[in-house]
Amino acid sequence: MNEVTQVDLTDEQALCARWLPVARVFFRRHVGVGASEDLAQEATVALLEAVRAERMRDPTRIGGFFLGICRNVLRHSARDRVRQLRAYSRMHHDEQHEQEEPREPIDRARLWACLNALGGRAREVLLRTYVEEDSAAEIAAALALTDVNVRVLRHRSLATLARCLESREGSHR
Amino acid sequence: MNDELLEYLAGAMSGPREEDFERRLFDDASLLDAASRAVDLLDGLRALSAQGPPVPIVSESALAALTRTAHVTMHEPVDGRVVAHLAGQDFVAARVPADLGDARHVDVLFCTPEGTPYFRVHDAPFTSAGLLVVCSAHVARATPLLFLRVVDERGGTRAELCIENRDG
Repeated sequence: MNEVTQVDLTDEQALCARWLPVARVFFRRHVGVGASEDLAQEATVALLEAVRAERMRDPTRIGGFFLGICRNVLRHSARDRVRQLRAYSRMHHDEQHEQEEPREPIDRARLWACLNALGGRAREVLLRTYVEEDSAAEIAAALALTDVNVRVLRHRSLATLARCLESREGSHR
Repeated sequence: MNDELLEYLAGAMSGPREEDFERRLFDDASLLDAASRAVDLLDGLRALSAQGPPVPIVSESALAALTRTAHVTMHEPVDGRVVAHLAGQDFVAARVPADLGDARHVDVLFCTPEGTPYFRVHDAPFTSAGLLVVCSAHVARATPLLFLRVVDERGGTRAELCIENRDG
């Protein structure tokens, strides 16, 4: 499972490419899209600074170390602080974007077709969650569901959407 | 795409499972590609929405929200037909009247002038009096004649509408 023994801590480009996407997922889960990019950038910058300062010397422990950084950033992620850090993060952001590996974007036409092919409630839960950023409680109240139902439905809907995107047909339910 | 990762992003894991998964997320390089694609998927949803309604059949409240930020003209059909003038418009909206009081689900088919469906919105939002269709002016310009058919859960046709888009 653990591949990090092969990580070269002096290769900052590789460190960003490896860890920034993981931080993005972590913060998407915990704070939604609004502040997640800033916080992921902040955590990655903190990792690079720790490596530069030689506070992280053992590559085999970098996963747990970075998870600790992300959790620490999350604990201190009040919105005001995020705004203050935005300029700082963007300064590093430009540098990191040059370093990131280019990714093939989602095929928007197929995504549109797959989204339209979902059932109405599944589609509404996804759009309310990931576009409107409504909480599970808000969605539950609007759709007469429980919080748990919303989370389960959201998981199933995301999985259906992902399967549709990965299927050859793309637009069929 | 990794199902556990989607469950995690959906907030559907219990606390201990989530903590365990986070440790694996940060240790297991095989999750990296799935993590990037999952974020791309969520970004894609937002990007679709930024371009206009991600679903061309909308609720009254979604249409009201759209009219606050964009130029939208609502059209009422006459004899099953709407003529939309696109100049100065960001979106074309049309009401599709239909008696849907007894319908459980409706799908909306987008059809060629010959009646062949090429796109289907499953489980579209509707009221007992019909539904609302919205398309961007950009799409409307590329589709001078737009034929819609509303079908219920048994496949029966409940309404049809032709939208003629005129660039001027």
